[in-house]
Amino acid sequence: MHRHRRNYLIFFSQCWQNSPLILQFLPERLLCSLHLPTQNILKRRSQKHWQHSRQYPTKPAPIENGLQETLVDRTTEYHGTGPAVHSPYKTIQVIVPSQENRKQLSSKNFTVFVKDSNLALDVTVTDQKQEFSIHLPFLKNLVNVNVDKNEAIRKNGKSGETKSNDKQVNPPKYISSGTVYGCREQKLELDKLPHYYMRLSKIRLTGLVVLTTMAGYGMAPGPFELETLLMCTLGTALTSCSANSINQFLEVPFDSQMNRTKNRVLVCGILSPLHALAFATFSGTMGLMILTLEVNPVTAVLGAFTLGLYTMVYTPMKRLSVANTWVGSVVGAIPPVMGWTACTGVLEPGALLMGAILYAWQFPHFNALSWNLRQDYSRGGYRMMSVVNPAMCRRVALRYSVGMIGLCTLAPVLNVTSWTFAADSLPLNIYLTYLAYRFYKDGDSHSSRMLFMFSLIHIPALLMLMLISKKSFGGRNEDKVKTEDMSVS
Amino acid sequence: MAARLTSQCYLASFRTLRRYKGQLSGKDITLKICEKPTLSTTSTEARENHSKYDWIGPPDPVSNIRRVHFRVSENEAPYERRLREERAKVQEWSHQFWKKHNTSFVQLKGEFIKQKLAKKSASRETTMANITITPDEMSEFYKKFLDDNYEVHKNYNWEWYKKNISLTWLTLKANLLNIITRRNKGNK
Repeated sequence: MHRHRRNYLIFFSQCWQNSPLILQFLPERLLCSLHLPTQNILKRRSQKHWQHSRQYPTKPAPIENGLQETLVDRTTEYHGTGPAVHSPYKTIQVIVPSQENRKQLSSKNFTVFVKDSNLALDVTVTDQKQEFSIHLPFLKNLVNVNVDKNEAIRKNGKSGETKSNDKQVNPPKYISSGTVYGCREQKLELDKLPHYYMRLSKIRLTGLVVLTTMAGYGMAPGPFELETLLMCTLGTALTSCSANSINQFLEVPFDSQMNRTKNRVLVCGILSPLHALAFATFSGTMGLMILTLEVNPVTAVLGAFTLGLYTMVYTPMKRLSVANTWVGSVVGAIPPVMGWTACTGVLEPGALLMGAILYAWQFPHFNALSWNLRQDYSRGGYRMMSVVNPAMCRRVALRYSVGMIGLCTLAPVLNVTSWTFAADSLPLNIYLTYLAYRFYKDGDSHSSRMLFMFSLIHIPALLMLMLISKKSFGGRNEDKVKTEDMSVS
Repeated sequence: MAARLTSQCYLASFRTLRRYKGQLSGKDITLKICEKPTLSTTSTEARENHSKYDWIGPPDPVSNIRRVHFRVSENEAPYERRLREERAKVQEWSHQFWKKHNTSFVQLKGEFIKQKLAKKSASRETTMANITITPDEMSEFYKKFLDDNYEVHKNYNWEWYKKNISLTWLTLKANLLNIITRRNKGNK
């Protein structure tokens, strides 16, 4: 890249960076389309130039030995987009206080927060005016830190100036220790906020809950009103989001212990707890209001009950008693009941049957899932059946799988579905029972995984079979034929 | 000159940062050198930290708790200072608890495995290579550990819920007061 053009870009980038902050948050595509240099372009260009003209060590040098102490008394900043950036080595300068100021300070270390790379570096620096190098192994970059008593900040003038640029790092004898770790600025990125809210509300779980609600609505023998269905769906979704957010808010240190949950939004500090709680309050209020005003009060009461049960009872109980699985199953069983009551407005035996089917399903599903997470649950302090009483865990899974067969047979008896459903759900339930039996007998990770995977297929298939065998449109003809026969004879 | 340079505050767009997260080649770094804040950050030197936001670090290898470097603003109000100190205290308390808990878990697990292996090798004549511990046997240990630490966990849970609520309440008050007195801190 031609020197003048590069300098122009660098100058422009400096002006750009001093411009109002809002401009810097413009999306990069927009900047590119306006032919404004983004950091992207500058980096790429400087890299290309460098790569053609420089040799750099392929193996990064270690950081360890020879670091000594000194004191730093001020914050300084440096932009690496200057002419010094022709190598992977960046140079910064640190202000070292004069001799008299040093005594006033208590800490002898400083931390380098490397924003672009999301790194932080704890360094203890020498007393002398020396140049030393710190290697950042994550980036294979070398940072030269010039300690200069002049209390001025200069960019490193030419790339060839510092010794360590061209060759392997001399293990500097005046830096006593440095630890590099990844660190992130806790700034909220508004453009990613919807994504974070989805993670906070466990959107996949919410989606499944909403599907069961819709299935409950579909199975109810009332008139099909699209508006009510949509409002019920929306209300349930918002309530579920709220419940999951409060759950995550309450469980931050526990989630950080378990592998499955350690990348959650609050654990990573992406959102603050207050933010999560505000989101939960807002979505919960909106959800319950929608259910009360647009659907009916019964559904709203059920929704509120689920919310309370999940956040106030299930979440603390996970750490106190094994009975939490039963409470959690009730929580999972209520959404189809809500869907049913949204349609008909009353709690009928059919609604309770739908709830019972989902309730029974939770056990093989959850017990199989928790089987492989025993170590994490134990270390995190969660009292789950798989840890506390493994035999009971497998027994219960088998028991409820068998119970599922009974419940599906009960469906036609309660006039929810026709007998076709009892017949064609039998293969599904028998296979589920078989897998649960294998899990009961073998109790190993393979059988638990098979059971868990199948349970994920089993419930959507079962709900679809229910929907197509619904009594009020499928079975009505059969009923009429029977009564006609009886009246004739 | 120092003042002029410190005013060139560069706030990177996080999207840019993320794009470069995985790349290993050389790229521009904005380095900000400040005094290393201690966990309690009550010292006067902490005020020199000119970042606008808190920084959150990686999970601690033992306790899995992420350490937050708190930002101390120039005109910090007393309620903000209290909030910061409380957050630091809770963080430290959590860190100490889980550090102790996790080290004891690892230690006890190691002892259990050794005992089991010793028992197995004593009872059989086979070579060491064939002896493994099944997950079912490990689950005895997991159950024992969980039961032994029941009271400890119960107390921690209760304390954690109380502290979490009180911290959230303090944050809410601090934010509201900031809005009312129209201070522009930029952090939530």
